[in-house]
Amino acid sequence: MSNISNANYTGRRTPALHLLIVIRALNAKADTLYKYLGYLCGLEILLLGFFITYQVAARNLEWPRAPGTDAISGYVLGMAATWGLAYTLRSDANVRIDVLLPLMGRRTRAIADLAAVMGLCFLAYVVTWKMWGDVINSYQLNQYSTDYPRTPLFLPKAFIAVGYSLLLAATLQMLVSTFAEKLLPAIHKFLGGAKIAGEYVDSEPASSDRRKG
Amino acid sequence: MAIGVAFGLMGAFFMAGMYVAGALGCLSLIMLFFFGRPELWNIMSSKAFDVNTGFILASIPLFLLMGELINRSGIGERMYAVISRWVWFLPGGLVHTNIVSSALFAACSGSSVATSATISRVSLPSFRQRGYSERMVIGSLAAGGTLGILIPPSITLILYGVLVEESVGRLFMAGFIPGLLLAASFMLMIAMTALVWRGMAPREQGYGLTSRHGWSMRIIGIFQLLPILALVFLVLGAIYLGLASPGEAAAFGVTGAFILAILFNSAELFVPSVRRLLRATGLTGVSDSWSEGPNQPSVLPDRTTVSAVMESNFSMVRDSLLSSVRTTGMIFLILLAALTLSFAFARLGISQQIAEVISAINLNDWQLVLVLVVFYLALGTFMESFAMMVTTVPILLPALQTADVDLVWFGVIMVILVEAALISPPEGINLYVLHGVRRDIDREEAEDTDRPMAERTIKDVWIGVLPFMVCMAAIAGLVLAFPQIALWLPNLVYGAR
Repeated sequence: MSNISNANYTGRRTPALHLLIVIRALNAKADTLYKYLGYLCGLEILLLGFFITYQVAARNLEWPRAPGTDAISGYVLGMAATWGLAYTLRSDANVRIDVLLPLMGRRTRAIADLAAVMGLCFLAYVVTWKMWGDVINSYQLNQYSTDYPRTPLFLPKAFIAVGYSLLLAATLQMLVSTFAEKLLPAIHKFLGGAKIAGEYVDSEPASSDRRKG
Repeated sequence: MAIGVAFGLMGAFFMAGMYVAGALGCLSLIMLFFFGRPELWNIMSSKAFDVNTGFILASIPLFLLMGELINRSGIGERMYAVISRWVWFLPGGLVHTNIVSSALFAACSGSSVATSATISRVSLPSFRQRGYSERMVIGSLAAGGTLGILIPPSITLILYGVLVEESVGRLFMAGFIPGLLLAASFMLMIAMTALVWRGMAPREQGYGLTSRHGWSMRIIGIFQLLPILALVFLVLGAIYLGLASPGEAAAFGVTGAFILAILFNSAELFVPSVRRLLRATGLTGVSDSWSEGPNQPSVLPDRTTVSAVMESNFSMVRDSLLSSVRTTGMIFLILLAALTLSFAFARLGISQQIAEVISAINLNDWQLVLVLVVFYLALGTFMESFAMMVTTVPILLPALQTADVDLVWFGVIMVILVEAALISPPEGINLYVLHGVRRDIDREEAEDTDRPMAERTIKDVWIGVLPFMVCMAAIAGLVLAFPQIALWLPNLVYGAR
């Protein structure tokens, strides 16, 4: 990822270069984290499938079973659906209306890409802000769910808020790295450094199942 | 004023190429802020909580995971081989296999792209060797793939159900007969094309309908299909018999698909033992068709094979998990934005205004749906199918309710139109999936033969799907004219409304 830190760069090392190396390294670490969270979410979905299967079988065969299947499943789903949002974004799985994108010039396309991330960042910011407000509110008012098992509501809400916070972090990361990749090499060159190789790349390229019908 | 700004912004966001979730979400927030009150943003927390914890929505990631497991386990290849034994003698030969395999695969996948990609990967190379018309084959694969979103379980129908607050079980049942009719119409189109233009599909040679060996092979094939048929029956039967809700049936599907995928992917481990057993009982015909061939030694697997199979299983499950998480994240974020937009439009009276405009035109339910069919066919040519549905349904819902349109009936028509959008040039995703698979196969063939890669354009795919779009229009027209095609089964099971 950060091949500028390797032996292939022999020019002058400027603060801009160091900052770029740090940003690229952080990007790589964050992407690894999102991917592991993706595995975790997938595993939750699989286990949720097993859990519901057992619960339904137990209901029909009168085996012992855990109470509140719907509520527990909902909470697990809440985590599985939101903690993978950052990974979804970073693996380019979100759908865009791309009719005009191929017709755009390089510069216009770059602006459109930036605007797309900014739009998502704004949405993630508002949801995260309101979600955490709701978590605090539920905690202060000591709210519990109405169905069994009686759960303090701030808990599942906090899990969902964490998921959206991760999405917000991922959008901010994309914005920062876009600006850093544009500005820092120019500043580095201005400060007397040599040309930097390597661009920021996604760890997981878009796959053919990007847009499921 | 608000309505003009809303549609202006929506157009601008989409033309700028924003993410669908970002475009819908930002539009809702801007409208709520400037035409409502800033405090209305508080709705975001409850919408986010409801969308992500609703039990009915659990069926989406579960069906997605089920489809991914089936897709990656190689079950599709076996299914294809067995079905080809049953349909090769029809005019059009093995092209029918594409449709039947897609319909069956759709019943355990729920995704159009997965169906298209799987079946085309399996079938395309053999069609080339046999001299079929590439356009006809590609068209059948693209069209067959779309059955994935009409034949239940369908992710698209679940999403539609959530958007219009309609019973998913009722929608699943409503999609069943039109789905089968659509598959039948595709087969009819293939047969007619093959009869009129004889060069498009060669006459296949095989064990005829009077051959005893042919029938024994067909029946043995059915035994090979039994696990997958059992899975389909488990999922759909549980819903239709009222034993489980769609969410619970999806969980059955995941458990069943997981077990099947592991078993199919581990065939190397137990096939030698099974072959030994079959040889001992004298059923050599079965053992020959089971796997590699009659002369393969029945050696029990060594430790290296066991560890290779374990690794392959692990990587199959891991990839399936990640892929289903990616699609789940995409769908849930768009759903949150679409439901917020629906709230914003209702709160600001925009939905009401749209409903009033449509009421003023004085259309009855049938005429309104006909207008919408034309609208969606036009929209589908340039808009991604999934985005098309989540963007328009919340806006049109009040108008549909005012005109007293049956939402289950409209849902089925809507899904057929979404199917048409999936294969309508230039934006249909299935066309690009197929073109991608075709290029992969071309590349592999070029590498194998040391010849330059064949230059094929997507135009073949565009032309190939056109006859199948005519079938879709015909079935949409039939469902439009005779709503009972869609409503008979749900009314029979759940009772008429």
